[in-house]
Amino acid sequence: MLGEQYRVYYITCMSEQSEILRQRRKSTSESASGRFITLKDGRKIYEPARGGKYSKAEIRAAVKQAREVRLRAEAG
Amino acid sequence: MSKPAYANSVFVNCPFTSDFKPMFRAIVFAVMDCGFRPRCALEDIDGGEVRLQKIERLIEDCKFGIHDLSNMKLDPDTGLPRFNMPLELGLFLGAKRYGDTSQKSKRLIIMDSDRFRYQKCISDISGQDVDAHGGDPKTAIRRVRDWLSTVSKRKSIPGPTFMIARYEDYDRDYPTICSILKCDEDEPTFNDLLETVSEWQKLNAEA
Repeated sequence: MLGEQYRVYYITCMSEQSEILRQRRKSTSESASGRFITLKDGRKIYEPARGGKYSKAEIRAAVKQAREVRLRAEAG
Repeated sequence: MSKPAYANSVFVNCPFTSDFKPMFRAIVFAVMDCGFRPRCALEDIDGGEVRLQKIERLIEDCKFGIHDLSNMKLDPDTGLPRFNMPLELGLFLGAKRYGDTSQKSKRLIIMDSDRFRYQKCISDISGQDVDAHGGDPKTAIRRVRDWLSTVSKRKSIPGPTFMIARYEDYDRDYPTICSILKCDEDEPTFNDLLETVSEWQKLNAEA
């Protein structure tokens, strides 16, 4: 009886551990290749994991600044 | 590769020459604005990987493929045509024809500057629909958008007019972005390009 309970307990533990490992492998591979995020307007878009020559922060700042330049020019 | 990643990936087969860069940026923008991940041989995943193996792996990982043959012309220096694009188109068609169930579900678009030019050089693909963009990036965006909307059946893909207007804004910002990053417009790597589009999309999303 105790042996059977232990067997069920062992199988449950191993199954849970496999699932954790599977999820961990999946999230590592997803984070290396980027991910899909939801925009303010509800659309899903691809976000790369990292930049190439420039850092994410450098590109974000340049894009923000360029947008401000354009909006100022459009406003006259 | 997991099924969601496969179904969200678009293989971009086009030249990477300077004169094609505006068209390449437009195609990448359209793919990303449709909600997909563009992939191409310029991805720097493993420097030690043989180029053909890398292309084979990329093709295997992508359900969708954009094949632009418009730059298939004689090289003025060598007098020979560049055959990389037709080769990669052939690999994609081969994977679709001989692959497993998932590979057989591949969808592709073939684009050229002229709709019937291919008949003079690769007539074996007769019967495939070839879309002409006439060398115009905005027409290419419309072609890619309409095709992805049809084959993916996604309702979330914005209309062509909205997408082209967004591209025009991005295209106006791009030289300033490069100037701020202190580089020429050809200089950002493929990953940098994806990053600029992604950041631009986040910043310019309408609430």
